[in-house]
Amino acid sequence: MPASRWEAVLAGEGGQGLVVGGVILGEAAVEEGLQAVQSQWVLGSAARGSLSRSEVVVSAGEIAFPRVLRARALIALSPEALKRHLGLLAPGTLVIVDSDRVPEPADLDPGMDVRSLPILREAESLGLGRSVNVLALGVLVGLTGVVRPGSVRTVLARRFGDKAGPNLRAFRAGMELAAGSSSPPSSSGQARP
Amino acid sequence: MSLDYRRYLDETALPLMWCPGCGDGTILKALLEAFASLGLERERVVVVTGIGCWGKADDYIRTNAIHGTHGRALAVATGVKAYRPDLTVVALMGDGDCATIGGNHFIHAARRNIGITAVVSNNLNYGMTGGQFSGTTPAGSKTSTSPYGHAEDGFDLCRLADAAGANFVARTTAYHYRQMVRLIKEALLEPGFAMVEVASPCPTYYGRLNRQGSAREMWRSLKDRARSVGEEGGEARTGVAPGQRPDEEPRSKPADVIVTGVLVRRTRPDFAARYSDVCRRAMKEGGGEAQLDAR
Amino acid sequence: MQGNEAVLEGALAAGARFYAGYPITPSSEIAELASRRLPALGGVFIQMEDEIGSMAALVGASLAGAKAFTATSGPGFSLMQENIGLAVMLETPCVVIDVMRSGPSTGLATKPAQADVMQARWGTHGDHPAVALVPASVSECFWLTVAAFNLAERMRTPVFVLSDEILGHMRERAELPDADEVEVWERPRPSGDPEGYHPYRPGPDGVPPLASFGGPYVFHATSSMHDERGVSANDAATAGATIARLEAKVENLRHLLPSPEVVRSGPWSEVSGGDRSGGRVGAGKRSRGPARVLLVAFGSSARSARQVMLDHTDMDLTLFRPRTLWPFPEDELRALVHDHDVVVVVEMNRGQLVREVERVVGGGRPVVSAAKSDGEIITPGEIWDSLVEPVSGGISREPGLSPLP
Repeated sequence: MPASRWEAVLAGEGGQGLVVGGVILGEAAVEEGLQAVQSQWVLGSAARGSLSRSEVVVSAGEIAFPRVLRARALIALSPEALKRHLGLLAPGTLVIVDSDRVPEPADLDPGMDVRSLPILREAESLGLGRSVNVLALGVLVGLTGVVRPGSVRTVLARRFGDKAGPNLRAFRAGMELAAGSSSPPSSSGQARP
Repeated sequence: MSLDYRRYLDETALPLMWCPGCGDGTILKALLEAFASLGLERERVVVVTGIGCWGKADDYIRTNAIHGTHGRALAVATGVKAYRPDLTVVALMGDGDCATIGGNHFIHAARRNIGITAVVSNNLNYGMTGGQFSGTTPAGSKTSTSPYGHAEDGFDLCRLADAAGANFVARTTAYHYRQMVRLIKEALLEPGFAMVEVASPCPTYYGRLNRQGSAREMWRSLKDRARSVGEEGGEARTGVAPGQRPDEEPRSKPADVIVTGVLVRRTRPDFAARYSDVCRRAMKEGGGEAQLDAR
Repeated sequence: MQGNEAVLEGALAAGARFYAGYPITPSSEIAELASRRLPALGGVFIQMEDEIGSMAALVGASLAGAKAFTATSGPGFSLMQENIGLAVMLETPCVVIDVMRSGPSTGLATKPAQADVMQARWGTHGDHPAVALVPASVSECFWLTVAAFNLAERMRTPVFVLSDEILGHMRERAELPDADEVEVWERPRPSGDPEGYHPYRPGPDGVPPLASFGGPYVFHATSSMHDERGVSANDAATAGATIARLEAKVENLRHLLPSPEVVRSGPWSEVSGGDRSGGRVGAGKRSRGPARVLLVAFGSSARSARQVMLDHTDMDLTLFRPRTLWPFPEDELRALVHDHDVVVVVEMNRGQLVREVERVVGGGRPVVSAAKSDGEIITPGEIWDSLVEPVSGGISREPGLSPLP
């Protein structure tokens, strides 16, 4: 894959809004003049409780192949969300897991940049349980810088209009959670495309 | 009797293709006479047929017409009526078309209460393909595909239409011409789904295989067995099929009594009325504008 | 915007005002959006009892004057075939969107495939024309849906848009035009004395003018073989002429079909001049060792093939991407074959289009099938692997990357 191609997977349970989280990330990239492709997949007949994922490819150039083959970053908000996507990880992949829901994956390649963070708890404690997707997105953007925070805020304001407030707060909380997260030995999940 | 019906008749297509003694020619005339007595404009009538003997009726009709696929007349008619609720839409089907291959469309058209007039010629078998049993053939009947007697019961089409929610359900026989015209006229005026079932003789197949005598005897039998709603033996609200009473065991002979007349009359709002409410709500809520995610 | 949304926007921009359908993954977003948008536009959305009825309702609505469409996936497309034949025979404009998924039967309901290539061509019985357009991007989901309506109206025949689960559920940037920037074609209409109107008397290009029910022109349409008046006719002369005309009218208007995209890359493209406009490209000079490969791919598979080109810019690769699958753009392909050494057909099925390509290439060049049928997208690595054997010059295999299960 060309070096400029940046791929990520946002996965969790249906109802956590991660499909929309991926859409927002893609829109933020487009906001910056980048190309972005987002795909989604929901396992099971209901959007609630089942495995749900959003794949996002961001690139400065043409994106032909639309799907993720080698994730530079993975968000996993449920144990299943991590387990199902291990095959996409490579040394240096940024793996963001929810510290309460996802047990520390013992068999994970030591070269991964794993960040176990209390994403769901943080969202609940701030009364932003319905914006957990945007909070997780804040963590991802905070740790990778794949898009500028301002671009995400622009998209949030456009999408949610009068109701953007909680989402903007959730995004900021995610960014702060990322900033407080211990610095990794490698930072391969970073770098803008 | 007025000859006005002839303006709906394509006389160049005559003579009729149906067998001597068939009821379909009489039903055709009753339909066209109902058109004439309501003064319908040819341009504003769409007749939709399926496949079968009665499904050939469109060949003789000078209104707009679609001769469609087997069993799908009501689905095609639904497309016409949903897009142009101002037109008079008529579906002509036999028992094979309506009650058998097209049974699903039939119950859903009745449930949807879409303003189509279905005129069903029920002769208890598939005439066009050589007298095989259909969804209304009574148990025990001999047909081309039930040489030892039919192992299944037939539908009572009127009860089926009633249960599915049709606003207007009526039955008559090919013999009872004046009643037939009257019932078809009423059906054409009904805003919701309307069905007129016509018990019709098939002397070529059903009658011959089941020893019902000559065509003349089959017509006489329709006359003798018919009981208008309200007459003795005809009090049942939804009536019974030409083949069977609801309370009796499956039997090999057509029923002793054919209950005729208007069996169901409802005032449920029709599809067009309900759908125009939907449109009003949609316009109020601005549903015409893009409300799409992730442009 | 998602591919399925773009389809709906394209339909509305083309003037579609009637939708009849039955829900099926992965096409249901189109129905849901149609149910939201059409009522406020004065259009009709109706969810039918099945796909048989849906297709039948399109025929009725179209003859009543509507631009009519439906969306489905393989199992529903199978049920529609009966009345697709009705639409062909009655010469009824309408559009069927098939968001293809993996089969046979229920198969993998949420996974992609491109296995309806031949169902689109030959799914309904009897000799008949087929027109099928194949988008490869969200933007094309819009534009080819517009084109599908325009062609259906212009040719008086059903037109298919074959999308797939990947495109339908994929979001990417798509700049949609304002409604007045979209060129919209209408069906040919009759003029003159209503008494003399014959709904099946062909115009100069073989397409008869079509009236709408409820207007001054009373007409009769029959699924049986018929003459120009729409009256049943059984004689061989009428039957032969009618069947031939149904195909001829599409052939006569072939120039209106969306043309294939041709993209060249590699050192050789610099010699010959890469042309991404879709036009015929002049023959280039062979400059180096490895074979010159002509990749034939459509829809989302074409994106995988294009990725191979982006990943291997040192190779002489050409992508021939039909936007119209049926009728197949055979002249355009034939024009490219002679200056390539091998033709590789990429598709998500067991090898359907490759047969058509073999027919067109006619033995002049080896034709290789890079086909995949397991419900997963075909990857650039898998396509590359399929090149290793036929292409001389020592291409090494890449470690196989797999998409998400």
